[in-house]
Amino acid sequence: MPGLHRFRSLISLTQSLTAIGPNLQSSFLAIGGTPPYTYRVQPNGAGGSINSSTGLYTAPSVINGGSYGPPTQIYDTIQATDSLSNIATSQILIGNALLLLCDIIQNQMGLANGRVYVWDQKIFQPTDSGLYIAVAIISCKPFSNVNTFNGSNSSSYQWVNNYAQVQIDVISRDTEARDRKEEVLMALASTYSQTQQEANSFLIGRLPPGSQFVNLSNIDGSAIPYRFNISVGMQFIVTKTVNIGSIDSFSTPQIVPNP
Amino acid sequence: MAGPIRNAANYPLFARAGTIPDVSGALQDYFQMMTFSQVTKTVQGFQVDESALPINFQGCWFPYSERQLLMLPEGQRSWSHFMLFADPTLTLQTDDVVLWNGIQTRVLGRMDYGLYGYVQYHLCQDFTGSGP
Repeated sequence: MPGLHRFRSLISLTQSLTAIGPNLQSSFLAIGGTPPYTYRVQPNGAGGSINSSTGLYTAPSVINGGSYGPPTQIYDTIQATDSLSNIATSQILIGNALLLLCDIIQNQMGLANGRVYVWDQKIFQPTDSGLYIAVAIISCKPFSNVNTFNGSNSSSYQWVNNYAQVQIDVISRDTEARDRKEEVLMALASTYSQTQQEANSFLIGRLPPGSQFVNLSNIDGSAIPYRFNISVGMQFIVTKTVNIGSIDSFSTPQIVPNP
Repeated sequence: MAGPIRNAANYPLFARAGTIPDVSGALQDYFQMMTFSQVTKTVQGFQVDESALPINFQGCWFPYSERQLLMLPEGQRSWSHFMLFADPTLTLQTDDVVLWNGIQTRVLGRMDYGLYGYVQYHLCQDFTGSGP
């Protein structure tokens, strides 16, 4: 029809989760553009795989390529391409329970990458006036330690169940830490948080009795005017699979009568 | 002709434009091409990642003399101290960590003689692997 134009929308990529644990799955879905879509994982990332037609992503079995060095293989970038070769990309993080907790806070508070970080001896000191949130495990109590073996593939599956005290520091040079600290608790109890906990087998506990934000603004003097600290409990599992050469299956003993 | 006495001591060198001696021309003959690797921190996947970024500049690097080391309050000679003169494009800050020729050093001081056409840095050998 003359004068009538239909504008195609740009292709974009949505995802069910922005971070998952090893071996777990997350769905990616392209919308807009011109179907059909194909999905692929860009190289040099975390090492996951994706179904090119359905967009179902499977995380790699190890975090950061199995390296304890610089976190350069934490993210996978998923690329969706429509039939006209238009491209949309999105990232997913593969991490342990502590990193997933960071993702929950970042996701729910709408913070940019780099604003939430794991606090360790190499402190990332805030250098601008925005909000920073530091997360650290200050104590960790293992309460079960289990080893099972699988005779069919000669492997040993080991895990330790932990209960950790997670310390969260809300820091800012401006008043954002003072005014947004409660949003951390909202994030930890959010629907996204509960989805992540269920999908990744960890549990963020309710606030214990007597829990409170501790005002630590004074310890940094004028450098960081606002800093509030609160601790929450988190239960998580650390697992490992080890190949073993031979096993004793400890089968039911048989009594051989009068050989 | 009568008038107020104008004492030269009341007039600093920069009181009028053009009175600062710009020695950058002479220093260019003294400088050589240098490349520092500055250790910087970024957050990747909620974890601190340190990486070294190259910085190219013109400068001249030399160690402290015995006399200068003696004058240091800590009286330490086992830690190497260095002086660096560089063109003003080099903008390191105190406590920055740089690598040069495999030596990790930390910036202890920056003296900005930019009006004269150069900057001067005091650097000290640092614990290998310690971050900024």
